Amino acid sequence: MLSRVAESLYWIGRYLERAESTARLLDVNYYAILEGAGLVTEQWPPLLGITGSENNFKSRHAKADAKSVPFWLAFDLYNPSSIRSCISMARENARSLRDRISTEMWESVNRAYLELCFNTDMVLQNDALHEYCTKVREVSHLFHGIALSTLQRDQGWQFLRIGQMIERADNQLRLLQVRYRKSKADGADFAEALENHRWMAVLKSASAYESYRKLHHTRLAPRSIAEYLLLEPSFPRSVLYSITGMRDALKKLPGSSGVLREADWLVARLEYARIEDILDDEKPSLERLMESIGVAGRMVNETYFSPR
Amino acid sequence: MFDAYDGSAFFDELFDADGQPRAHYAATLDRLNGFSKSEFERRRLLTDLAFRNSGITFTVYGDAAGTERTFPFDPVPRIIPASEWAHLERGLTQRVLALNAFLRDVYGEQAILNDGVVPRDLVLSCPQFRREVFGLKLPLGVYTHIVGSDLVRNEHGEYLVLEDNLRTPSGVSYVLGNRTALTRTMPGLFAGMGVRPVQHYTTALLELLRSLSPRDNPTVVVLTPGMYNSAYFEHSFLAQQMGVELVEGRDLFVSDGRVWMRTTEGKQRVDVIYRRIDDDYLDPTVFKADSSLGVRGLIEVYRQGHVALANAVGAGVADDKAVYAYVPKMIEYYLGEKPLLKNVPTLLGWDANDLGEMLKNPAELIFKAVGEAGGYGMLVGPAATQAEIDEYIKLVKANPRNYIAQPVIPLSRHPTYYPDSTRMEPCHVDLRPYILVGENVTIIPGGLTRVALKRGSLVVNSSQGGGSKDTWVLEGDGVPAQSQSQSQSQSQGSQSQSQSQSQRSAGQT
Repeated sequence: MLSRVAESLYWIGRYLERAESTARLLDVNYYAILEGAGLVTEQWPPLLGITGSENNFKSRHAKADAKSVPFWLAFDLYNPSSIRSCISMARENARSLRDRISTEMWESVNRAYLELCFNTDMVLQNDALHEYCTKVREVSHLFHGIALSTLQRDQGWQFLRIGQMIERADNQLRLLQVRYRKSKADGADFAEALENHRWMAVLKSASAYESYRKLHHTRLAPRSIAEYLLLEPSFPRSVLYSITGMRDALKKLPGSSGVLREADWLVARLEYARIEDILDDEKPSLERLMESIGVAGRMVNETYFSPR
Repeated sequence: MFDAYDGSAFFDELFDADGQPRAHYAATLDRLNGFSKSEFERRRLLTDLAFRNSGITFTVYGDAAGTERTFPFDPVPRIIPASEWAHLERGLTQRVLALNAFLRDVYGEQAILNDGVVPRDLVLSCPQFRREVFGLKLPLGVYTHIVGSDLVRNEHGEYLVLEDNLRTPSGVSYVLGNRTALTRTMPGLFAGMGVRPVQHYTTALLELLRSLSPRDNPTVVVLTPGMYNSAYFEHSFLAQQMGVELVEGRDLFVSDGRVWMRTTEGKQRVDVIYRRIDDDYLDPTVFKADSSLGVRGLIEVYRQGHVALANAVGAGVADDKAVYAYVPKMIEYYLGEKPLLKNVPTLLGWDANDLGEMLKNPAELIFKAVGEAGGYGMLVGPAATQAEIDEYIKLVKANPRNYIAQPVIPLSRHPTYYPDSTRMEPCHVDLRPYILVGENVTIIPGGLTRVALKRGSLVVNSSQGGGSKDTWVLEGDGVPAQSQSQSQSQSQGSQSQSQSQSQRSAGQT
């Protein structure tokens, strides 16, 4: 497979996953904040932290509030990770390999681009953010669903999946890092109801609320939520699941021994670590895990995409 | 929808001089009239949406607002009866054989120049004449494998060749796309008509490309300048339909005297390149040094015969708009035949007498720069202001070799649906058939009918606001549908048969 084609598929996987994560995060928090009225006005800056774009944001907007942050995360083309930027980029990449992906895959992402990347000015004013975010999630699901049933299971499929899984693991870790720290610092100052409300939002951001509830019937405990999002092998958005998916895709690629070692090492650490090792002893820490994912991403790039 | 249709003044494809439908259009006209306006409009919108969603678009250069556009599609088909097409097929075959003979000759013995049939200076001064490939022996001796010649019809309905596109003609993807679109939205129009199929084009193209390599099971690729090129959709479409890699220059490299592509598993050898990049950008070590689209060292591998290029380097010398004027003489010189298709009369800036004529009446002529395509670099005298003419004439005087002029051909017109008036209005059309030249000459029935949608305009290029139509070649000469119900039920019976027949013959060629 052409290196350029592999790289484009990998990036489509990443961009669509990023758009989906951001849409979830924005959707859940936008409405959660409405309900928590008054007590939680400081809740906007953490969203910037989760998406890793504080500095960029500050150079464009004076204040992080209910207007500027949703605009930045969803529509601002100056934010390379905004939903609109991600969908445009996914579509650009898909356009460059129209001959390689199925026509249905291309059409789904092209339609998404036509629907979601134009005339976005009115979305917030018309209170249509929820519909917008729902559509974004559906776009990602539709695309991967079509890929699941039409894309050849050749290397291209593996690269698409690696991109998706790396991005998902990375987003999930960011969500935990920001939310868990924030919660620890606040300590017991906050009312339990609010805490509950906030952790519910975390679970919903990860599309994990319902499945978590099925396994844990107790009150929402931050620690068990973190455990679920990090280590639950059966939850398809957990970090362990994502990393395992990435590792399995790498196994099917030729010449992957270097990057496979890094991926195996990540999987091993997550499989054997208990939640207290990660949260209390920081062995490995959330930061260290994120770094490892970054290393794996760079190695994929060096092994397969960079001209030799 | 055909109320108040004005069919006078030009040759009309559908109606004869008395306003009666021509025989091969009669059944289709009846069926179109069978649609209510709203039903017709509903189906038209469906087609539009399908083109938009599938991203069948082209890029307009120098247009800041939204550079991707869909190519407007008019659902009223253009129909060519069998006998008319047979004549075109013979004429085009003759023409491409002569053009290839000419290219072999000018890059070899140069007999036609030595005999003074085509002026040597005119050929050698053409920027598309590539000394770099002089004396090269090409597979099958073919220089221009994929040809798109533009045909127009004058006021008498006579077909004339307006120009030959011998380098990287585009548009064939629209031929296939238009056919698919029309069969989906208006399947009833096709029933019993015996419309000859076109979808075998990509199979024929792949066969042709494979035949250019001496190796068994050669690796064929399509080389594109990238997704910002105006014809990118077509490049990806053809690669996909042929099942070959679509590559950019940066995906290829030369080492050990061969061309390779970079893959996730190392390098893979490339044998045949269907390139959609101009000669100038192919190899920075030979042509434009600053080209980032091409492949360093490609031409040397090509010269050694270790990679094949379609179309060949240097083919553009024969579609220079001044050299074009000599094609009828080439046909007589190489084939000893009378040209079946005439040229449009052409004045050459290169010739002092012609230049005088050109400068005398510029407002009555159409001027073209010899190396340009796509409707760029031209002046339509009758539609231009005096200032525009003066400006253009300055260019002509500065470099007469670079310009030609032709009289305004009153292009034939075809009823075309206008959503704004919800009526059929006459529009000027041309026809670009696609010709494949390998061991045999293959022409897909029909081609691309382009429509000048700007009211009254004679310019059909997509970059200048043109649209297109599905183009049918019939298996017969068509019958008037007087008793429609009868002819329909009859013809429906014969439809499956005629279709399977034509498919079989398509498989054999």
